[in-house]
Amino acid sequence: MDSVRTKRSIKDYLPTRRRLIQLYAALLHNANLKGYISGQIFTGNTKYLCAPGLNCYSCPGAVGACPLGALQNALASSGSRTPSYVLGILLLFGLILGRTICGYLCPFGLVQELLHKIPTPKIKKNRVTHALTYLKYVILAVFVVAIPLWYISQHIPMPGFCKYICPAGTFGGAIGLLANPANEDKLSMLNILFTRKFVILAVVFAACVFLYRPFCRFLCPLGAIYGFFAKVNVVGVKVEETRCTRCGLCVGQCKMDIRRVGDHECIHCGECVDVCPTGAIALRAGKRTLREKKTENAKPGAGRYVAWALALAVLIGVLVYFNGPWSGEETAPTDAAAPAVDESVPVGPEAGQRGPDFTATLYGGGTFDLADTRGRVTVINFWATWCTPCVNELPYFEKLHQNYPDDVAVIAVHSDLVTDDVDAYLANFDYTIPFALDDSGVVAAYGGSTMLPQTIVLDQNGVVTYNQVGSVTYEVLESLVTPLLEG
Amino acid sequence: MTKGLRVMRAALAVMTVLVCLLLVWQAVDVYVTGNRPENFSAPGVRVEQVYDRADIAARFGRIAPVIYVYIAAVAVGLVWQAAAGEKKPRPAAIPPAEAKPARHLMAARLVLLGAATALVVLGVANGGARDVLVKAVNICTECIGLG
Repeated sequence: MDSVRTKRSIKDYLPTRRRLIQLYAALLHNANLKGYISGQIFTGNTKYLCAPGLNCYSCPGAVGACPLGALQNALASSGSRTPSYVLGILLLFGLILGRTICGYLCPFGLVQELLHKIPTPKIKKNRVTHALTYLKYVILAVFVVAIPLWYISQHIPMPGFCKYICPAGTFGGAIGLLANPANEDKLSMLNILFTRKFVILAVVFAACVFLYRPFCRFLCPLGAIYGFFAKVNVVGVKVEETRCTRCGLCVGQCKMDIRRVGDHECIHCGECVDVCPTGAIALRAGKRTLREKKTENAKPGAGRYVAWALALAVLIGVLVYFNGPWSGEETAPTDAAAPAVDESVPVGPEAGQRGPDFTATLYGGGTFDLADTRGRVTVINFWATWCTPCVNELPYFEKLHQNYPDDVAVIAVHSDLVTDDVDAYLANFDYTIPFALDDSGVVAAYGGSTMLPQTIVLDQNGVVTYNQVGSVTYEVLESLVTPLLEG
Repeated sequence: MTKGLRVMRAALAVMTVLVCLLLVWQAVDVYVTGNRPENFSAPGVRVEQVYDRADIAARFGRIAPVIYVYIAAVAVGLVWQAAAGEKKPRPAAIPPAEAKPARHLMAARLVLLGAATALVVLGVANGGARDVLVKAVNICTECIGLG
């Protein structure tokens, strides 16, 4: 059949209803706009809930948890409790919306679609792209399920997809945070991991220009999960079989690798609705029709305007709620500061300042008092059982403790956000360094926020000489303490 | 499609690839430069901080004109493309539909809804919901691609 050129009206240049819903959803996912200014992530209670779309919870704007990140972390904690909450949420999202989430609500899907607008020759779906759609199931099985479960046996929490692949995390989380001047000190953490993930992001973005939603089609494990619900999801594009003539126009115009409308590759965008010559396709929520083929004399009902007005009111309410002065989710101020040796040196967490004194309760009994370490170099490590780089670097602190038993005091302070039985976790190892719980605001006193791990070194007078977020090696630790011991 | 439009699209395709390669090259070069042996006194121990905002801003400042030209070209391309017409889709073969017994579908939905609700309630009770919060309000630096 020859292609036919059609004349377009002004209306064709305006954003479609789906595009407006996508923008709306992206804004709702990232309603903490002040996070983009402060460079801090949102730490309020709405993060109890998973957002439906792929949106990194380390993005400064994110107000909900990423379901994929939460799933991996839940699997990594499945030794201590079943990951029923995240599985239940995913089941609920899949059952109600399925891949309609991909088509309407996912912020990363929107980014891909906007990039695809760049006018270049496009690669149409073919047998190769169809075969590549199965790759996302491999990624789901390996990076989301197998790697976290495999690392449980070594007591290391490992969200494989987040760490090695997720371009949404690189884009929203890493770049979103690093781009803010407030996080300039975090640039010291740049290493091969960032370079590798940046390359993946660049390749995905470049692919988006030539291919329609390549990440959704070939790589996204969240889309793969929602695809499992293609036959049961309540909201989505449905075909009325009695009116369908099997002309194939719907599948032909679809840019996804579908075999039929509404299958596991269909994102229910509804672009086939207007193509169907018999009007057999409609976007439905159960028995209620949300969108069907336009007829010439059809006029939008008043209900549509009411719905948009309501949606706008909700959006304004959400933005005010998350960005108003009352949305303080700051960590409670510490009472750990106390005078120490040299009164002339100001107390504070920065290098050159006197480290705030603190007393912390030790796991296994007893307390740790920083004032008792005067005369020795002190290394403080902030960690958590759920933080992969934290648990990976604990052996280096142990080695430092073993090699400098008299000259260096080491203390590992667990974040006050505890998800596992820390005593039970530590019982798996032979660590001799003291482990304490941050029950007196130590992390806040030393400028810690939401980023782990963090290492602080104090000289013999209790003055901070090093305070950085990020992983360290044994060599780094030794290079930090030996000048102080020699000096 | 006119010949001019085809040429514009091909040119933008080449520009897109080149801009991506330029960005990747910069990212790799930042890493390689920062990891030169002379920057280290011991494995993993940098002599001094090699990454700072001024350096990175200056580096990307040098390629900024290329990015601006690319963005301008994309804008022109979008306007040009919008002014052109659009094609109607070609039909494709679709497999025969599978019969969907509505009653079974509703039963499956109800079972899944019950299971999902039970899992969520169980998850809230066993602390799984708090786990989600804890992970979401803290940043695992490795997990987002930092160090």
